[in-house]
Formats: sequence, structure tokens, C-alpha cells
Amino acid sequence: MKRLLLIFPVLFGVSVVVFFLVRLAPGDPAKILAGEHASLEYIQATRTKWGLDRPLYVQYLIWLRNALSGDLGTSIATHDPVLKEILGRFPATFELSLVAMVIAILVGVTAGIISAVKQYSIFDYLSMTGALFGISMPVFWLGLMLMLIFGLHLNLLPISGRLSPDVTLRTVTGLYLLDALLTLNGRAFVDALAHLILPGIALATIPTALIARMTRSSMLEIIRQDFIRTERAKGLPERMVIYKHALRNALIPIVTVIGMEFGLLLGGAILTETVFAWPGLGRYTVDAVYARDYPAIQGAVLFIAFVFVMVNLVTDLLYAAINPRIRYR
Amino acid sequence: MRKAFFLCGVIVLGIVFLAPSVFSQTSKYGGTLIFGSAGDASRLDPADVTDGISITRTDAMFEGLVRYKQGSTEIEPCLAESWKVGEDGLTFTFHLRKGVKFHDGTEMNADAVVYSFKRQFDPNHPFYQYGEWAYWKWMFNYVKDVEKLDDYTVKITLSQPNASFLTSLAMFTVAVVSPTACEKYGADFFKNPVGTGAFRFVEWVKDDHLTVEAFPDYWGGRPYLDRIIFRVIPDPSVRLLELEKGAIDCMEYPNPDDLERIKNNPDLVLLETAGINVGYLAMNMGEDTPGFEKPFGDVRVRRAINYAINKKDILEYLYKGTAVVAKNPIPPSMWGHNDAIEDYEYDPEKARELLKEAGYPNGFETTLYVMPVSRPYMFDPPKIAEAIQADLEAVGIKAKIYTVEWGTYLQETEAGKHPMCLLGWIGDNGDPDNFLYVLLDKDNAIVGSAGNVAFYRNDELHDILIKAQQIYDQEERTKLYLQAQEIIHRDAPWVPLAHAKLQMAFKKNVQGFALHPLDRKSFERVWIE
Repeated sequence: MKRLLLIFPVLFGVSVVVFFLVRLAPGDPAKILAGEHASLEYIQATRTKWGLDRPLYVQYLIWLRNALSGDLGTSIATHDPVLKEILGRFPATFELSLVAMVIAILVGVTAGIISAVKQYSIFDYLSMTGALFGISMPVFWLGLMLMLIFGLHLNLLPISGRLSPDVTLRTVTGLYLLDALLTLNGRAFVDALAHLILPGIALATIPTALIARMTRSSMLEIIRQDFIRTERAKGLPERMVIYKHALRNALIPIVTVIGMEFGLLLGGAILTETVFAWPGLGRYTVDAVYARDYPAIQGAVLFIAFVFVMVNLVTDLLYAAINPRIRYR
Repeated sequence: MRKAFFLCGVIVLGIVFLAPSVFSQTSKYGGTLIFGSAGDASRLDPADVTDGISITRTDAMFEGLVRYKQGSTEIEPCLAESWKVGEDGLTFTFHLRKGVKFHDGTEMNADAVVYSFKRQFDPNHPFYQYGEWAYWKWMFNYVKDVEKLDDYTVKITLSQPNASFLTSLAMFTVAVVSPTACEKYGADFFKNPVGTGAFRFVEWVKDDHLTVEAFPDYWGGRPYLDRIIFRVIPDPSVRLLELEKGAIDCMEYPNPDDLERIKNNPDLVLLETAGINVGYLAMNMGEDTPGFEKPFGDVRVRRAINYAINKKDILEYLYKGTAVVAKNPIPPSMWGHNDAIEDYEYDPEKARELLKEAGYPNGFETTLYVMPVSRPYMFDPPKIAEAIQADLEAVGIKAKIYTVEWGTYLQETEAGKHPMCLLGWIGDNGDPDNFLYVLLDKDNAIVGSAGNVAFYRNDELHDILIKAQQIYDQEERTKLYLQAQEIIHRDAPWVPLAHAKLQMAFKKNVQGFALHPLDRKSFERVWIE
């Protein structure tokens, strides 16, 4: 409960910093929108209309008052309520992040465990070199290569977007896989899943690599400890020793990495979303920054911060579930 | 007799076998066109958008009183069948087409036209509050009133004669919208667009796609395509991959590096046309501006700079063949372009001579303002600036490059903070006035809101441009504009650099699309083989 209350000062701090930072950055939203063709009259009318001609602290207080009542303002570029726009983009980001995290956890944890158990084996070297590549590979390049190979030459998977234009799907939650299940739309489910694979892999590379490395080092530390030797001496099968006893004890740092990475992904992966034409939150935020769309930037950053804090909170709660010695009061 | 019979047989057989190949050349109904777009629309109200991507969408759904002929900047009747210009050149009477339906089933009439216009300039109009009307403020501030004479006649009164008014009426911003839909949706009209165009709105998933379908009651007859899906694919390389895969039927804004690849692909067609735009280098002549430097007050220096810059190389290596060399402020595809003008050829020797004559035998130091972003008329400005910097260095002029975020860049150049700057212009209506008056007349050399960022003030030119605004005879106007370009060439306030081409790539089986020099898109005649 106390931890939940901590969210408010964090969000308040974020809102203050973002509010003043975006206004310190040069550029006028009206000017950017109309470009070379803006008349002075239009610029002035726009500044008045959006309240940009008022003192900064007044602008902030008005924004804060509205935000507290759940109104994040209206986007200058699109004239739509910011919160609505964000909630429209978030399911796309959430779905992709979830798929990427599932891939990352499955591949990363497995590779990490095997590398630790068979330390200095060929597999260990290969997977750790692979992890190094995964961390250092530029995602837009990887994305384009995946598209070129699996999308164009092998023609196995769609290149970009969330759904083929000829597939219809009634949206309920905005998570297309879930919506397809809810509306019993098998074709849309397969199509949505196919669209998730390439961006999912591209987005999963960095978290996979980090998780694999963290799992390996954490496991290596645990399997050298006395209690593991005791387990083995007791005659427990190796499988039990590794998965039940060693892994469980090695999980805390792994869960921390997973939590951090998931939180980051939920903020929207700008490059992946741009390359794969994914209509998510990352692209929305960047477009807002380019357009100097103040309400949209503030809303998006605040929302991302909120999601990040929530994911961290869940991670903390997971610690307690994993290790009964950790208890929150 | 047998011979004749045989001949008949041959003819019949010939018709039977040849017919399909002949008929397959004629247009066909049906099919979906998937359009690979570089971004998403901001809004779908034609009067309240400023970007080409939104305009492409609204063009499919809306029409105005007049429209551009296919591929040209000349106008033809659209929702108005005919019109008359009053003696004074201030009143225009439009006779509307009868029996035109909006997508919501209501009728297009004089009330709808008056509503569509008045909502943009009358603060007491109930819809005025819902938009910013940037383009009305920019292009139509001289319209005094719009009145209904009867159900199918509208009178528009101007506060001053304006020769380009009719051409401007073909712009997206003065499209006729359904008043019933405006009243129904209010602030949300831009998400529920209702016009008279060949296609009507179906759905819009933001940042993903927008779908429109054929409007069966379209006054011009149902269009060939069943539907058009505008898919947002921000990365140009990915758009091309999708096109090569066949997942989309056409794409806008191909990457200049990919043009060869498109041309070499037998399944794809690259369409190109000269765009109505210009990229230029302006030299600040305004003594009252903060950025003014003395050398630029001397015409010999400005000409020297014109001689010093190797435009051909810049076009070849930096524009990569996606533009043509500019010698005038207006592009060669526009009426009134003065082709008789001889450009200042690349000649560093002559440049040095002129500098010496002007009293700068060792050159001078200055600053070149450069925008940070690629614009439709200028691809990769920082690289172009470096090339210009090297050319100037070769004749002794040391130019520092200064760059700042785009919105601020516009503000600073309008305020005249630059000694030299790179900038450009995309035509609004295809009229020479929209280039020459906006960019080079003294009326627009106001510090703080200048369109004329050379701060070039020439009374002789001003008189010509004003006169050309007030007469409606195009031949007379052409003469005046030819003369205007001579004066501008002589005074050399700019180095005109390039007119960028417009390019789009299509799958081979897409027929009937023509690029428009103002980048307006019409899908009415498009069909899929």
C-alpha cells in the first residue's frame, strides 16, 4: 500500500520535468504544423487557442488540474484527446512487448541455464557470443534483414503492419490475438500471429541476450553453493537439482532484468515500431516530439512512467512470491 | 464466293481471338488498391489540414467548385458547372451542378457551399470554433463574403481583385463538406468526413490504415476501384519491400537510393513528374534585419555567389537525379516560366573577378543557415550546405554552417537573422503569383514574418506583381511574369537551386493514375488489371 502511494510523487516529478523540458526545447507547434506556409495570423490564433501565450506556471497549473481529473488534454496535431490516443496505441505496444518477452524468456532462460550447467562447452561459447551479437545489433538492420529473408525471399511471413488488409477483425480490447479469440475469428488469429513473429523476434533480441547472460551468471553462482552439493549428495536427480532448487534461488536477478526490460518495451520500441509499421506508443511519442505537440508529449511520457512504475511494483511483489524470505510490510 | 466466305471466316476468327487482348486494355471495375503511405493523416477535414499526407486522403473523399485537369494546373468545372466574373473583378457567380449527393445522402447545394466557406472565416459561424483554418488564413484572407443567390447559385465577393482566385478554388481547403454531417459530428467531423467525392469514408485505424470505398451515387459515375486502403508504412525501404512482395499496389516517396532498383524491376513502374516547388539559397539584402552583412547589399557579390556554386554537381550527387536545375524562382512546368533567361553558369574565375570588383579580393566571412530536415524540395540539406560551403571556399568566401530545429529555423529566417539561408517553397495553387509575390515581393519582406527571406525590395518588381494580381487575362499576366523574372535574375537575390521531381512507384497492373505537379492525387480513373 505504501509502495502504491509512492507512485504519486514519482509521477508528479516526471510531469514537472517533462512539462518544462518540452517548452525549453526550441520550436513552435503551429510553425511546425504549417511549415513554410504559415501566416502570422494563424500562428497567433493557434498560440492563443492552445493557451501557449500564457505564463508557463499558469499553463502547468491548468494542465495539472485537468490531469488530476483524468484529462490529459487535446493533441495539437490531431485534435483528439491525448488519453484516448494513448489508449488506442497502447494495446499494439503491449501485445508486441508481450510476445517479445515470451520469446526472450523462453530462449534467454533456457540458453542461460544450459550455458551455466555446461560451462565452457561449445554451446556456452556459441550462446554467449550470440548474446553479444544480440545486444550490439542495430534493430532496424535486423528488422530489414528479417523482412528481406522471411518476408520477401522465402515469402513465409508478412513484412509489416498488424493485420492483412483483407482480414477483418472486430476490436474489443485492441489486443488482436485476444480479440480474435473472443470473436472466434480463426483467420484473424493466424494472421495477427504471423504479423507478430518478425517484429517480436527483432524486439526480443536485446532482452533475450540480457536475460541469457544474467541467467548464466546467476546460475553459476548458485550451483557452486553448498546446498546444491547437498542436494546432489542426497541423490536427487540432476534435473530436479537444476530446475527446482538452483533455478528458484537464481531467479531474483533474472526477474529483475525481465521486469526492467518489459517496462522498457512497454514504453514503446521506437525503431521496431517504425520499421515494422507498428501503430504503437513509441511511434506516437516520437511523432509528438517532432511536432512539438506539448500535450501529447506530456501525456505519453506520463503514461510511460506510470506503466514503468507499475511493472516495477509487480516485479517487487514477485520477489516475495519467489523467495519467502522477502516480505513487505 | 468461296474466297469471300473464307475471308469472312478469317475475320470472324480474328475477332474472336483478338477480342480478349483488345478488351483487356479497357478499364475494369472492381478490386482494392492498397496505397503505401509514408505517414498517417492528422485530420480528415480538408479545410483543417496542412500536410500532403492528409490531403491525399481528403482528396479521395472531397471536391470543390473547380478542380485541376489531370496532370495540369489548369482548372475545369467540378461542383460548379460554370461561373462568371463581374466587371469589377471582385464578384464571382458560380452555377452549381444539380443532383450531386453527399455520402450521407443529403444534397449538395448553395447552402452547403456557403456553409463550407463561412465556417472557415466567420467567427460567428457555429462550426468556426472546431478548426484552425490555417490555409484559409494563408490563401483566402481577401475573400469578403460568400452568399447564396438561389439554391444552385453562389456569389463570392473579394475585397480586392485576385487573378489567382479561381485557381486557388481548386485547392483542397475549399472543398465542399456536408453541413448535415458537420452539425451532427461537430468537433468530431474530422473523424467522420462526409463529402461528394468518388470515394466515401469507411474506417480509420490511426497510424495503421484508412479505408475508403466507391461511392455508388457519385455524380461522375461510380469509380473503377471498389476500395482504397491507405496503409501507413513510415520507412521507405520497408514500403519498397512490401511493394516488391506485392502486399501493396503503390508507394509514395521512394528513397532516391532505391530508384534504380525500382526501374530495374519488371513488375514495377516508376512515375515521375516535375513538381511545382523550388529549393533556393537566399542572400539577405535587408539592411534593417539583424542578419544583414554588407557584402550582400552589392549585386556583384550576389552574382559572384551565383557563379561560384556548382548546381549541376549538387543535383547529380546529392539530389541523385530526383530534381532539375533551377534558373528561375518558378519551375519550368508552370505557365509564365521564362525560359529565355540564361542561368549564371558555374564559373569560379568570374566569381573571383566580380568579388574583386566589389572590393573583396580576398573574399569574406559569413554564415549559411541550413535547415536540419529533408524537405520535398531539398533532399538532405546539411550535405547540400557542405557542397555549397566548399564551392564558396574555392572563391575565397568562408561560410560557417549554422543549423537549428526546423520550427525555430523558420522563425529565425523569417526574422532575418541569417546572412544567407537555404529554404524552399511548395506551390499551393500552381499560380506564379504564389511564388513570385510570396517569396520576392517587398510586401512580404517584413522582419519577423517574411516569406521573402532575401528581404529583396524592388519597387519596379512590386508594381509588376501587383498589376499581375489584378488582371484576369492570362496572356497579359504571362508577359508581366516573364518581365518579373528578368528583374529577379538581374538583381540576383537568390541562387535558385533545384525543382524536385515527384515520384511514385506502382505495380505494373495498376492503370490510370497520373501524378499531379502539385502532388494532388485523384483515384477516380484508377483501375487494376
